[in-house]
Amino acid sequence: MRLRLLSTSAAAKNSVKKATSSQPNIVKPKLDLHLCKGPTDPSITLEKESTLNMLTQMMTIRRMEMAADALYKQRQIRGFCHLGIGQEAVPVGLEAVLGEEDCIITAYRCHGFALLRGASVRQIIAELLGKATGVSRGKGGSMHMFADRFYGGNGIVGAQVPVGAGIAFSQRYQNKKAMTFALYGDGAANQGQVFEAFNMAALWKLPIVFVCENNLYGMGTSVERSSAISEYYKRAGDMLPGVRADGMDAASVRKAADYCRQHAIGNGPIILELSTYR
Amino acid sequence: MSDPGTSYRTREEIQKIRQERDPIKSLSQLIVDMKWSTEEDIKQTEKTVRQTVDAEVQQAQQDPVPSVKEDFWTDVYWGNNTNWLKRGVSEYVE
Repeated sequence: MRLRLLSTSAAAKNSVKKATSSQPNIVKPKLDLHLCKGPTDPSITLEKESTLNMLTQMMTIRRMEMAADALYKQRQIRGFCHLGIGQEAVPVGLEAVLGEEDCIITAYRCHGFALLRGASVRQIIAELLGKATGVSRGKGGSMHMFADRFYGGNGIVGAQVPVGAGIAFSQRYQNKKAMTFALYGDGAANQGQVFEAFNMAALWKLPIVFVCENNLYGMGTSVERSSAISEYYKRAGDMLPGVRADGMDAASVRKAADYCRQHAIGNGPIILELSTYR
Repeated sequence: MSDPGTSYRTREEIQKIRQERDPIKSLSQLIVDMKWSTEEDIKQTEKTVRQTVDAEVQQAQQDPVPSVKEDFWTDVYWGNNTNWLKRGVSEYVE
């Protein structure tokens, strides 16, 4: 319902009407590859309608996060509140390729994903404020938001990755032609359980894309100080292939995610690193 | 909230990336370059989005907090059965 609201908002309609061209635009996003060939067609065709929709989605997430920021500073939101201001292209790009039975799971900075997966701004802000109308009836808070095929929000650094592998396992067990995006940050990338999940996913060829949102800082610690190898798409060595794309460009995210999604369904797990910033 | 801090990075770094790599700015630019929309129209979209979001935020602020009597005892176990002891305590004890 939320998505329909986003794509047919009065303003979007307005701009479509007034626009002067509807030629598609072909761009060639730069992808870094590790142990895989990359998409057969490296270019991506952007259509007017879907591009405008992605822009509206990003604007909505940005505005909602700004509102949360203000409420936090007014001390109306208590406890944890991690915002994804600057990283909007990641949820929007992934949502654009999400299949009918595909799932997403993440940890911190999950408000944008919850919104795109069907929670309303009111429900998300209410959750942050601890109100009964929140997505988790006000008992969860920033990291405990859930929606249709969106498994949260998780407060434990890295714990969502093995849980994501479990979701992918269930999809394969039920013979679904679906996959899971399991997201984690550069901060969680050094967690032992992340590598355990890599190992089991590789053994069982699970339909999963491990998405590393590299925003250069795990809380206040830079990647140089926290990671011996900061090229996260190569972190599984010979075990898993990887792709790196520009996480600040929704079109690049969409292209890379589409390739990785097909790889996951056809050939098993793959790592997708998205270079972003907040 | 340490997120927006500058204790671990420089103000210049933040400014530079916001100027050059902001995902909303760059996609807006592409849309204008393709003549799919005009700058004014995009500004108008932004304004509508702002109004919609702000209205929902206001609603959320006026929403009630969970009640201790009812909501406190739900969502502990799966399903609607509230007939459990929670941490050794009955909900009927005042």
